[in-house]
Amino acid sequence: MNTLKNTVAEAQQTALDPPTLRVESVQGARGDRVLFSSLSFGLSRGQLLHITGPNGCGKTTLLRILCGLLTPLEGMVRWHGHDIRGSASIHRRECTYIGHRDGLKAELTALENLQFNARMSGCRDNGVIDDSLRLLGLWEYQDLLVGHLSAGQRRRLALGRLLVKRAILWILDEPFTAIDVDGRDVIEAQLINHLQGDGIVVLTSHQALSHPQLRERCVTVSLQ
Amino acid sequence: MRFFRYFHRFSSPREFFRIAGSMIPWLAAATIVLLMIGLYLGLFVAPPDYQQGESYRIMFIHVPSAWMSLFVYMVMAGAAAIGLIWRIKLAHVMAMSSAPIGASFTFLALVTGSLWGKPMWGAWWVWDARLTSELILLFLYLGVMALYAAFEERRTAQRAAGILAIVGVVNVPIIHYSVMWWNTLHQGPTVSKFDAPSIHPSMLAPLLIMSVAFTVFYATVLLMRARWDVLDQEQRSNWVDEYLEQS
Amino acid sequence: MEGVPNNAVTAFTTIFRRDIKLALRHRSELINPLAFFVIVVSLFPLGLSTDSRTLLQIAPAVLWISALLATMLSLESIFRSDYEDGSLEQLVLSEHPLSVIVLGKVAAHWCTTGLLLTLISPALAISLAFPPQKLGILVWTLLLGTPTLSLIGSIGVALTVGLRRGGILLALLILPLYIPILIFGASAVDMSIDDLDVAGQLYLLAALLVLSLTLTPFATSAALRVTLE
Repeated sequence: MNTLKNTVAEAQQTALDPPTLRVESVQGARGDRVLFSSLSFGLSRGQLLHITGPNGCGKTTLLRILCGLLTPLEGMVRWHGHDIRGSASIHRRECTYIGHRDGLKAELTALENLQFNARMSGCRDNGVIDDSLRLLGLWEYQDLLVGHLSAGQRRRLALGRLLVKRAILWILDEPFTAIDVDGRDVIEAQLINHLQGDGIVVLTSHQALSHPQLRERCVTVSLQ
Repeated sequence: MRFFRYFHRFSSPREFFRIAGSMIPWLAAATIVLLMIGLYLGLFVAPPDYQQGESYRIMFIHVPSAWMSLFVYMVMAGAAAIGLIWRIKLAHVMAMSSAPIGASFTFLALVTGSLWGKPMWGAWWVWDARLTSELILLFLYLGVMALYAAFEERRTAQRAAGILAIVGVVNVPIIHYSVMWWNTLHQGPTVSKFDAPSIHPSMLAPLLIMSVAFTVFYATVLLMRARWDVLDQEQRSNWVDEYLEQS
Repeated sequence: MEGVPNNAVTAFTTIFRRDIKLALRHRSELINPLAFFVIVVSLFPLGLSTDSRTLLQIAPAVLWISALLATMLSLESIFRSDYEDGSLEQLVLSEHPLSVIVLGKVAAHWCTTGLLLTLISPALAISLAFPPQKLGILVWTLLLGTPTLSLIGSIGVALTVGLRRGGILLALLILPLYIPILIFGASAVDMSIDDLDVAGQLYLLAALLVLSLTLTPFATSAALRVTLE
């Protein structure tokens, strides 16, 4: 845990802005088992946080705390300086979470799913939806029911939520699962794009990030 | 301010465990004394009823347990609300420890009601409005208990069952009045045997003493249950290890 | 993208239309509660008698209890599949008030269950020797009562959706809360057969509907946030 604080502190010195996302002595637990405690760090705009660690170390728990699905037993998460429990609506508007479940309806087509996600986040521009489908390599499959897509295609479609919502904070739980090399390159390019546009990314992934531009903006946290 | 500081201290699991432990013997003693006085006055001092003879004496158990069944439900829902709003663990523990006690009072009210009803109506069960309300209240208690038992994670279980208890408390008056209305519709307005038109002071005194006795009994059992629940919940803290080593 | 009104109303209609579309693509799930309703009602003449006076006597209770059970068995569809595929956590994290989303989902559920049950109830009532001129009251009570059943039921589903087997538990949680609606609904139908005034019961059913419309979305949202943790 100490090493983690140091790396984050170093990364913060290089960043100009004060941290937009701040985690203050947070404790996470599953059942009665404490997974991590007194975890503190901050993330500024343009930074990527890569959370690593063995299975069951609390990576998903931490992500669910960051997006507000889970209330930490102790400590708090601040977004723009405010506790996310108090100012939940701003945090939710500016945050997109992609969990390990895709959140897609199998009985709707790829296009309908993406349209629904776009409408719910206030995007009515069909051009954005079309562009996202092309970018994700799903243009030819847009009228297929999601139940008929492969696992990798479904994952791509789930990540399409990032492109139609345009939030500041992206929280991604194993975004590269089931995705092929091409798809991975596309997604990494989008991550770089997002970071360059002053976005923040928090992700868990078993594989190291391959792109050099991502690595230079990346802070790694290892949960034990 | 001092009150809040005291309250805060009391709500820490360790302090609660200690203070509750020292209160329980006194409350238990008070329960026994009050029950003995109440039962003596009710069973030996109070005169027989001019209509119902001796059988009315079951009222000294039935009426306090019926009161308690509602009172405990209110306490449970109130504690659950406090736990949900201010995130106080101890309030959740109190709420969930109350549920089985309240269900027992409700069950006792139903059994004594049916025993009382046998000589009155000639049947063990009649769809009397109050008995029916009491039966539905038992269902509400069982729902809270079943939901609490269904979750593996204690925190989720406490909060989910707490929400159900609050939903139930909003519905209790609605259910009560709808059942009363239904009863008058189907049986015609009959004078319920449960409300004596005017109660003699010699009957009122044991009734009130029994009610106080039941309330103190509830407090005793609540603290006992909550104490063990706190111990279980905090089993990973150091003070629990220390306590278990001592005993 | 900016400048487009993105308020609670669009969230409500978006979620409502999605759920209706999903229901229409799941024809069997749409028909199952209706088939259940028909079968349960037809069991009573088979188990009791075909004497029209007996049937008429039990008709209000049979129709109401069967509609209530059919609604209860269909409740899981409000949140179950959304929970399983991860859509529910996305809805909870949406920027819109969760109570509005809940209301949209419950409205879609009612349109695909309670409303359809109400529409086929006259045919079943006739089969129980119900006087045709009194069908209006039956339809009115169901129209006012079944939305309340969906609303109250949504609290129960929200509380049990995280459990692997919540079916019987759901019944235990919800049925006691359904009692007032059953009492007013069935008695209104019963009294209307005897030409008595039933405006009181209809007002009470409407009052319960308004009350649950205002309160249950908040309870359901709170329950969803707890069970999704």
